Order: sequence, then structure tokens, then C-alpha cells
Amino acid sequence: MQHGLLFCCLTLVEGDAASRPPLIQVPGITAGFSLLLGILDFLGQLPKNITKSSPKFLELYNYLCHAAPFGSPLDVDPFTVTSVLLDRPDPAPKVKQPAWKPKLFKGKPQIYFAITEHIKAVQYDKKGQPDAYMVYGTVTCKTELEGVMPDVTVNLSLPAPPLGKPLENILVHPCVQSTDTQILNNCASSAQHQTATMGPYKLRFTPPLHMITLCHYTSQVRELPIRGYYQMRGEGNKVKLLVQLKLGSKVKNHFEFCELQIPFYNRGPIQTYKTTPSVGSTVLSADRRILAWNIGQKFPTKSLEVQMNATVTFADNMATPPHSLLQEDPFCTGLNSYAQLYFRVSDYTQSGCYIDQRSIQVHPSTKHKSIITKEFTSSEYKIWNSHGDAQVVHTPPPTNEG
Amino acid sequence: MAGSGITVSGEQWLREMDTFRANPTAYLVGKRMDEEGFVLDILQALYSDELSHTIKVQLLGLLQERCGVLLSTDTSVEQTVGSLTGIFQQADVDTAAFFKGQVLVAITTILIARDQLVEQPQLVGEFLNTLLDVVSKINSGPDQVLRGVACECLREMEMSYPGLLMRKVGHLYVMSQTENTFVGQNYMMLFVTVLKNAMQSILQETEVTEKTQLSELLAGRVEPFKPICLPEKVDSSTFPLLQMERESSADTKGLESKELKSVISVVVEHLPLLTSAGKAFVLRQLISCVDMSPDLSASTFKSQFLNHVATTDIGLLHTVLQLKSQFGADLLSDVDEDLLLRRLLTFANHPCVPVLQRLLCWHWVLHYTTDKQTSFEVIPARLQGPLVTQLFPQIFDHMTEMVTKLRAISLYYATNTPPDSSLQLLIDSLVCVQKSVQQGVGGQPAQALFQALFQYYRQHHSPALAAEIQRLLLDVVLFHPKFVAHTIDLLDSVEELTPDSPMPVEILGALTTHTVKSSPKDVIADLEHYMMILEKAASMTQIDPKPTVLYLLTLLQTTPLCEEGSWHRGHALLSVCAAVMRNHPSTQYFKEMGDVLYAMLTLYDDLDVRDQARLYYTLLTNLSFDKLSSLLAVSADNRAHTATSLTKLVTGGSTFPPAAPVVQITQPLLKLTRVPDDPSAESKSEGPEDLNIHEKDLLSTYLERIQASTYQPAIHIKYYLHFDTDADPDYSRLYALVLHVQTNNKYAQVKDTYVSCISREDSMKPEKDCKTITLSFQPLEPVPTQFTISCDFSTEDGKTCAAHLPVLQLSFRDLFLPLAVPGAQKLQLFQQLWEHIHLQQQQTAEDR
Repeated sequence: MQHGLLFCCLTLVEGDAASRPPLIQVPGITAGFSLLLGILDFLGQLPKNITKSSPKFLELYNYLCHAAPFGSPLDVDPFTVTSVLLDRPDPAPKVKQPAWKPKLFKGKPQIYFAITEHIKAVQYDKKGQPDAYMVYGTVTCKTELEGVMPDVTVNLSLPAPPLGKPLENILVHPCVQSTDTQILNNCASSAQHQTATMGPYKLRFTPPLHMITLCHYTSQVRELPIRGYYQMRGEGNKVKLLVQLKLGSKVKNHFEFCELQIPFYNRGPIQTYKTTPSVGSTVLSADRRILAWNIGQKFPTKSLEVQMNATVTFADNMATPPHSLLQEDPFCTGLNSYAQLYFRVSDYTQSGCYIDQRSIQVHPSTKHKSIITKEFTSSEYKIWNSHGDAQVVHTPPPTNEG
Repeated sequence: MAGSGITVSGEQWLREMDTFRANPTAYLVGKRMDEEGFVLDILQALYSDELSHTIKVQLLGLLQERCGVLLSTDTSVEQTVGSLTGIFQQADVDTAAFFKGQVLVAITTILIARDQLVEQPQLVGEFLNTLLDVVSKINSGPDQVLRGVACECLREMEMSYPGLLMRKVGHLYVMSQTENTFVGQNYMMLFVTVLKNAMQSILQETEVTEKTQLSELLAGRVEPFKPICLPEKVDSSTFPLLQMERESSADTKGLESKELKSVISVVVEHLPLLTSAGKAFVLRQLISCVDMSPDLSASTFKSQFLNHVATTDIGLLHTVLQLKSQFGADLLSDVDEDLLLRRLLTFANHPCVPVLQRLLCWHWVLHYTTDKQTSFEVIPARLQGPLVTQLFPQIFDHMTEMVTKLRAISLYYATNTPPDSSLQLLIDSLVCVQKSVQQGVGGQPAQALFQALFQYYRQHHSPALAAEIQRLLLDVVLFHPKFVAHTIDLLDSVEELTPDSPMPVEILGALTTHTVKSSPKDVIADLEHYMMILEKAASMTQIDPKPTVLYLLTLLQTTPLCEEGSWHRGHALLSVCAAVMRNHPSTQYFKEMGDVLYAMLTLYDDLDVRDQARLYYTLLTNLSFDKLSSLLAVSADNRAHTATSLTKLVTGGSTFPPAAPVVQITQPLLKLTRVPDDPSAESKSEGPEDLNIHEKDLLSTYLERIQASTYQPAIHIKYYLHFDTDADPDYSRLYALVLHVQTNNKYAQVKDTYVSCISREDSMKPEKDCKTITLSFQPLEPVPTQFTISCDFSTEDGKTCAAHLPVLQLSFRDLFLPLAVPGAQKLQLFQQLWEHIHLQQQQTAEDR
């Protein structure tokens, strides 16, 4: 389900109806999967009240006619399909041209790399319950180079230990030709976990013209960017709360935004609230269900700490207003509650991962401009109430076998 | 592509297509045209310059989709294909390459769907030559897109008729190497498809003629690329591959490996030029090729394995797995296998991979080692040591992933360590779903928890685990009685799996003890759930029923249950009573149960509950335990038969068989045919009351009669009731026949007609001796109509049957009733009426 539309794909499985082969034996499953992803990509953002007669769907039909004329996909990438359908074909080249690059690039050569790193974290403030978090990133890349199949090499580098920690679980785009052994072996699950190599991780690839996800990775980094405590107590319709946040000393203290939101589930809308934030300002969401604290761009330089006291009272009626965007979390009743942080820091990665401009090599060698950006954002950053219960998982003790 | 430039006629066509798709028949009927006419319209639209290519492509799509309906005859196919070929030849390749390609796709689809290679090989041959002609223009610039699509059409033909292009394989090989533009992929895909089929058909041929057959083919020495040579007559035996299951053990001596080896390495070299989908397809074909010739080594694919084992593309990862499942140890060393498994776990746990793809990957992990045909989940034996931590649920996992992972760890510890040491680990892992359930959150987490518990139990039914499960269940259910249904379901499954397990008794015993100790105030809110516990517990003979019965009495006496008189709650209580009486000798609780039932039958404010309580009370006080329990057991085993078993009670246990269900007869059986008008009968009907009326009173008498409130005009029609000519001869005599006439709101209800017996000998044809009946229709409004007639009857062997008769028509003519005066006066009355009406009309006109 996307944009209120249901996307589905039926795969043909030959054989009698009684046998149910394991999915490994059904190539159509992954082909159909990729096609659906291609369709989603092709449609992009859709207007809300899209109807069957929208011109976008006529275009989609053309896309499908080319991407899978007889039902099995040939090329699902919307960019290449559209360029085949719209543009006049190039004359036949002297050397073999790849199927994923139907048009050759002409213009100013340029390479663009972006590292987007995310963090998911939960903090409990409970003895015996370790906090959990994962840092992971994606390198996207767009190369506009002339020639049929230019070949690019780039290094993903890390700062020297102890600051840098190895990257793991690297997945690479199919256009990456040779995957070096470091990339293959740095798995969180591998026996060499403790001895995972520090890079630089070399990627050699022959890119198509459009934006691609060059690779995904996770990081072993062992420090939370912002440590937080959320203490909430109260009875009936009135609660008092205290939130304290401390920025890690190595984190770049310059946010694009940093906001803490406290959703109040399974209660009536907020009737009154009184807050005393040490920095920034507070505001209620339109449906009066979320208290938001806008911390701003910077934590105080000396202490790197901020805090907020608040008293909140709730109305009696429990009914969720119809326009509310808040989906009730049935677990969060009474003191079971969490605060969630939203932030973004540009030109920074928590893992320290960066692309060394000097490492970029193009073959056949051409002069080109390269643009490299990086950013770090929170994707799920929860701080559970110290006085309530929280959702947890059991972490198995490290095994000594094998 | 489309844009805002859709013309009016284009929009018109889009609407037409929508209506047609919604209901083709209704559309054609509404337009008063047949399929051929519609196809003609479409073809005309395709020829016209007014429509944009986008709309035309949609029209072609419609033709393909519905060619089974629209092109039902060979002639219509031939004409349509002819027209489409004309359109193809007229369209300009520079401006309409995409459209031209889609015309080819449409023709291909139509020819394949209508199986024209068998029906009209000539037609298909011509089209194939067109395709070969397009495809042959290697490296030409402007028609790249078109050539690509033509390759696809040929590939589709080859896949539908494997071996069709076998003799062109050499030419295709050269072409796929020479083609430099981006459609080289299409040539490559066509080539490998034809190659694979060619190898298969050489293997399948019963007599392996020459050893060099494949190299001859590959060298392109067999025949030129154009034209295609089709056998004169094509039938099912022409393409034997369609019929046969592929056998990998087939005789492979016809295939010499030297050429093949070089061909395959050339194709592998070209793989980086292909899209992911293309790569996956070509690799799959190559896998089959290598699999067919044992001289070729699987190591050709080693580089592909290493290249794609860390891919982000799920399709390619799938191909890697297929390589593994096809070649196993021939391709992968132990180190490689470890690597693959590690990478699969990486993919399955990677936060950047969408949840659905991760779940698919988990499925692969759990089916990693299994043979091709089994669908059991197994943890691969290689999955050991640090890899195991990857199986545990993580806090950021989706609920469905958590369930999968819980299943995985359960499987892992079932085979890998002595159960006791892993037990705590297993139970601790449940915390990820358990917390929600402990909060009383139903739905997915609850389902997940109970599924996991059963999974654990199934794999490790150790007493220690049972104790843990018991503790956990009590913990959950005692606080949230709504999970009783889940618990009982789990216990039922446990009982089914291990009938001797003491677990259900222990858990139910504990739950019962807890329930009967709770204050009635607490229980009353969730009464139905608590009653479910007590009912289930009562079915266990090991649990003493007396506290339960006493508790029921307390409930009835201390809570307003009886006054509220809820039907549901009353029956919940009664089912507990029934379960107790069924399973335990009544001496244990005779007096108490009597009190409970007596309280219910006197005080409970619901008649049905009181009745049932009275029945149970009677049973309890009058029957021995054996009788009582067997009687209630029957009704509990099969609730549908409750009525029967109660009847047995009344009839003193006789074996009166239950009535068989009514047999519905769908074939025509009986018919009503109108008896022709008989003038003599009409004159007879003039009774003595219709004596001549004085001429002067004629009109007034008549008007009086028809305006009286008691006057109810009725149409009496006589019918022959006879057997249909197609009637089943088994039904030769029908007894106690009841005819029902279904009326509408314009007619009063018609009384059922009863016929005691009708036999085939007398009533076969609508003739004189045939059974006749008279139906009286009483119109509320004088409109013609039709009636549905049905009948029930018994057959000679005592079966009860029901059947429908053809509908009865009541026409406008039937609505004219004869004037109810003696024949001679009819004319007089008519004239008087005429004058009367005439006069009235004049008066009304003057009044205005």
C-alpha cells in the first residue's frame, strides 16, 4: 500500500496447483518485487485524489509496455525506460553500450556523492536493560561522465582508531564490479567480527547516468550522539515531567533542526501545559496530543546540556479527534510513555565515514567536478520514561562457541 | 508519452475502453454491435491520425487482453493481424518506434493466445519473417527500440513453442555479439533462450543422430537467418518440450562441450552490460545449460557468485541462491557457503533493506538447506557460533520479523544444545511480544506470543519448558481474561500434539482455582471468558467440579445476573453445567448442581435460558450418570444433532431416523399448460342466480355489484399439470404435491394448490385425461405479469423433493373478465354502459 493505492503483482508458477515449491524455486517473486519497486519509483509522489483517468496512469501503461512487454521485466528502472521512450536514439556506438545506459551523456562531467547516515536508538535509564541503537548509512551517487562505460573508483574512509570503528554489513549496487574481501567479510555476524578491518573500503563501479544507491552500511560506532532522560510522574489527568538531554562531546554542535516530541497516548487532549525549557520553545500539535520542544540549532557550548520541566493536564474525553495524525499505541498507558527526538546535522557522520576527494579516480581519465555531501539524521530516537515500563528485547549473551 | 495532449476523441476512447472492460457483453449490446464490429472500430482508430500514440497503445492493449473474446474465429484473427501488419508498415520508425513495437507485441500476443501456429502456420510464418527482418538489421541506429521489441516478440514465440528458432541459434549468437547498442541485451536474452531450448530438444530427441549437431547449429551452417522454415503441419508433437517434464538425467552425449564452453564464457563476459533483471534471466538460462552438459564446470559462475553475494538487488541475490541450490558443492567451497549464509543474514537484518524484502530473505534462510521439494523450515547446520546472535529479535524489528525470528531461535535450539540450558534464553526472548500482551494489548502481539509458545512446545516438550509456559500463561490470563480463548486454543493444540501431557490439566486447574477464589464482582465483568475457563476445565476429569458448581451458585445468588437475564451469559453458565454433568459422576455435585439449575429455571429472566435449565434439571434428576453423560456428549460432539438427540429422549430412545434433507431438482420436471377455452364449459357456469334481470335495473345492478367493497374480481385459469418431456423417468409417481405461486405486489397471494397424486401414465401430455388444476389470480392492479411456480412433493421411496416449473404468463387479454350477466343480456348491458360512460364524459367536460 502506497499513496492509498494497492500495488500487487501475480507471478506465474508453472506446475500443478497442489505443489507449493519453496520461494527459492520461484524466480518470479523477486522479479515481481523489483517491478513493483520500479512502478513505485516511476509514479513518484502522487496527488492525493488521483483517479483512474489520470494521465500518470497512461504513462505508467507505456512504462509497463516497455519494462515488461510480455510480463517478465527487462528493465525496471524508470529513468532508463523514460529516456528510451522519450528521446531520439543515439546512433549505434563503436563499442558495446550497456542496456542500463541507453543514452550517452554529453556535457560538463560531474560526480556527486552523498552519505546519509541514520540512527535508531532507544534509551531506558534502567539497570540491567542496556540501551539499544544502530547507526547505518547509505551512499548515493550520480555520475555524469562522457563515454560509453567510464569506470569510477572511490574510497570510503574512516578516521583512525579509536575514533573510527569499522563499517559492517556493506551491500553494494549491482554496478559495483569487484567487491573486495573487506567488504564481503565485514559482517556483524562473521567470525572476524572483532577483527573487522578499518578500510578504506574501495568501490570500483561503472555507473549508469541516474542517481543510484551505491552502497548501504552499518557502523560499529559505540556512542550515542545525544543521551537523554525522560522522567514523568503523575496521577489521573495531571502529570509532571522532566527531560534532560546531553550532547556527546564529539558530535558537531550545529543542527539543522533538533526537536523533542512527547506524544501522550490513550489520554484526552492536552488541556493546559506549563513548560520551562532551558533553551528553545515549546508548542502543542494541532490535535493537542503532542508536546513539542524545539531545542534549536545549538546545545549550550559549555555544558552541552539542556533540560525542560513541564506540567501537563488532560481533558477527560478520550476520543481521538478525527483530524488527529497520532496513531494510538496501546502499550503506552499510564506511565508507559516515551519522548522522541528528531534532528539533522549536515556535513557530519556519526561513524566518521567520509569520501576522500583524492581517492576518486575515473577511467578513462577525464577532468571532472566532484561534489560530496554528508548528513546525519535521526530516524527513530526514543527515550522511555524512567518511571514506566518500556518495550524491550532480550539480548543474548555473546556466544563462545564456533 | 502521454501528457496533456489527449484529444477529445482520445478521451472518448478511454471512456469506451473503461465501459467495455467493465462488462463487454453489456457494452456490445448497448452499442448494438458484435465483436467483429468493435474490432473494426478499434482498427479504424489505430489507422486514424487523430489519436495520440498513447491512446493507440491502450487500444492495442485492449485487443491483446480480450483477443479470446474479440477474435473468436481464424478469419477474424487473420484479418486483424493483416490490418495490424498494415499499420506496422505504414508507421514511421523515426517518430513512432515505440508504437510500432507495441503493434508487434499485439500481433505476437494474438497469434500465441489463439494458437495460430497450429491453426494457420502460414500466417505465423509471414509474421515471423517480418520479425526476423526487423531483427536482422544489426547496429542500425534509428530503429533500436523497435529491434529490441522484435527480439522480445521472437523470445515470447520461442518460449511458447520451444525449439521454434532452434535452427537460427548460430545467427543469433553472432548477432548478440555484434550488436553494440543498448538493445544488445534483448539479442542476448533471445539467444540464451533459444540456446537452452535447442540443447533441451537435442537431448530429448530419441535418436541422437550426430555428435556435432549443436556445433553445426551454433556455427549457423544449418540454414540462413531468413526466412523461417515451418513444418507443413504443426501439432502438439512438433514441440515436444511443451509436453515433457525436463529430466536432468537425460542422455547428454549429443552435446559436445567445447563450443558450448566458449559460448557460455562469452555470455558471462557480457553480463555487466545487462540490467539486473536481464542478468538474472540470462544467468538462469545459463544455469540450465550448464546443468544439462556434465562436461561443463559450474566454476564458470564463481565470479558471478562473488560479484553479487553482497548486492542490494534482491533479484540478483535470488540468482546467487539459485546457483547455490543448483550446483551446491560443485560451485561453492565451505568458505563460500559460510560467506553466502553470512551475507543472507546480513541482508535479512539490514536496516536499509525494506521489511518485505527482509522477510523474504528470512524465508530463504529457513529454507537454505532443504531439498527442492520440501517446505519444512530448518536452520542450516552451518549457522553456528556468532551467527546465532543474528537470529534474535531486535528492538527495531517489525512485529512479523520478530515472529519469524522467534521461530528461528526455537528451531535452532531444538537441534543444537541440550534443551535445558537454552530454555531460559528462549523464554527470555519472548519479552519483545510479551510486554504488550501483559499490558492487555491484543491483536498481533498476542497472536505472536501464543504462536511462539506453541512453537517452543512443539520443538522442546520438556517438563521445564511446560512449567515456564504455565507460569507465563497464568501471568497473562489472570490479569487479562480476554486471552482465555487464545489459551484454550493453545491447550487444545498441545493436547492434540501430546495427548498425555499433564500441562493442560495443570494450567486449567490453576486457572479454575484462581477463578473460584475471585470475588464475583471481579468475575462478572468478564463472565463469558471466565465461563470458558470453567467449561474447558470441567471437561478434564482430573479437576474436581464441586468448587466450580458452588461458585456458579454463588454467582447466581450474589450478583444481579438473574435479574439482568442476558441470553448469552445464561447460556455461558449453562454450558459449564452441561460440561460438568457430561464428564463427572453426578454423585459428586448432585445437590449443588440441582440448586444451580433450580435457581436458573425459577429466577433467570430469560425464557430460553429457563427452558434449557429446566431440561438439564429434569435430566439431572431423572437420568443415571451414564445416560446423562452419553446424551450430553452427543450434543456436545455435534451440536447440529442436538435436536435429534433430544427427540430421542422424548421417544424413549427409539431409533427414529432424522429426516433426510429436501432434494432440489434442477432439471425440468413438471409443466403447466393452459386448457384451451371450452365454450360449453362457459355456458354451464351460468348458475341459477344469474337469472334475467329486468332491463331497467340492468345497469344499476351491474354498477352496484362492481362497486361493492366485497367485489373481488378474479381470473380463473385452468391448467393441465403434466410431466415435462425431458423429465427424469425416475420420478414416475409424485405424491402430496404442493404448488406454490409466487406473486408480486400487483396481485393478491395465490392459495397453494394441493394434488394428492400425479402419475406419469396419466399426465404425460396436456390432453384430456391429464390432471387439471385451476389457479385463481386476483389482480390488485390490472397489469399483465408473470409468476414463478415451484412445487414440493414426496416420491415413491419417501424422499421429499422440490422443483421449479416454467414461469406462467398472464397476458393483457386475460385481464378481460366476462360480463357477469346471462348471455342474452350482454349486448343490452354493453349498450347501456356505453351510453352511461358517454354521458359521464359529457358531464365532466361541461363541469370544466
